[in-house]
Amino acid sequence: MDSSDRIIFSSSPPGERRHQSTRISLVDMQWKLGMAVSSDTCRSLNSPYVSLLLKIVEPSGQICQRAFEMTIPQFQNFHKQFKEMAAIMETV
Amino acid sequence: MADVEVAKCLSGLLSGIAQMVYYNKSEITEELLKNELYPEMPQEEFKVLFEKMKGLIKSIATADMDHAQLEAFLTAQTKRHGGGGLSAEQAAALSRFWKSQRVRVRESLLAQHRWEPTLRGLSWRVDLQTGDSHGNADHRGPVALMELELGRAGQDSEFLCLEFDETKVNQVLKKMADIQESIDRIVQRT
Repeated sequence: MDSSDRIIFSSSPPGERRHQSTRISLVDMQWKLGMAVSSDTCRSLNSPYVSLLLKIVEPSGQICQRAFEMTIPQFQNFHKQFKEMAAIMETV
Repeated sequence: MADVEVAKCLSGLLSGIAQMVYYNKSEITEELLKNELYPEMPQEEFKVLFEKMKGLIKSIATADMDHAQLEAFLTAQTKRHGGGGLSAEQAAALSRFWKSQRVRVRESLLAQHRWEPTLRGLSWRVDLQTGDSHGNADHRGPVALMELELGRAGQDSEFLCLEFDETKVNQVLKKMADIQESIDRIVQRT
């Protein structure tokens, strides 16, 4: 990006954006809604979770995967942030 | 020891066991607990007490007992004869302990079983690309950058910086709506 870019909106103040890491494109996103039922240390977990598998392309062209889990409240916050981001993009 | 003292030491012991077993406080050890709470007690006697309380807490936590189950369990334990029996004070201390710590112990058990990385943090911004250094206006349009902080318990975070155009954002939003729909269906059923 060159110097004519303008930052329109950010979820965090400029001072807090620490990681100017490599930009990665999302190729595909798969999801799974799971329920942890039982484990060796807790017989009734009854804990739902959302699992996402991101297929990403690095600038080198290499395709790789990243998976991560969220609790339901975490997912709902993630969803909310995404909607806010989309709303800003529409107004631009 | 006065009753209040007995109760305090017991509560301290149960709390200390939880710190060791569930809250990952490595600085809490069996030896520390003995020295702090039962300095006069013979070593062997303390070990028996420690192991008994630890075993009971684990049984209660594994079954995630509710109030009724806990009372029935503790009553049965107090009726046991021989060395395995529980005193009324010990039963009361365990009951108080579980009432206050159940949620936190459960959270710890859930966290222990999240083996994939979890989403620790999230920040984003929207940039407007107004052109590039070649005077090319083809790349105009908003670009979203989202930074995900991912990590497993006890490990350093990995930061993933994803770039999205509007099309991609809408594709992801559609999937998220599908996820929310699934969640709503499951919540309705349970």
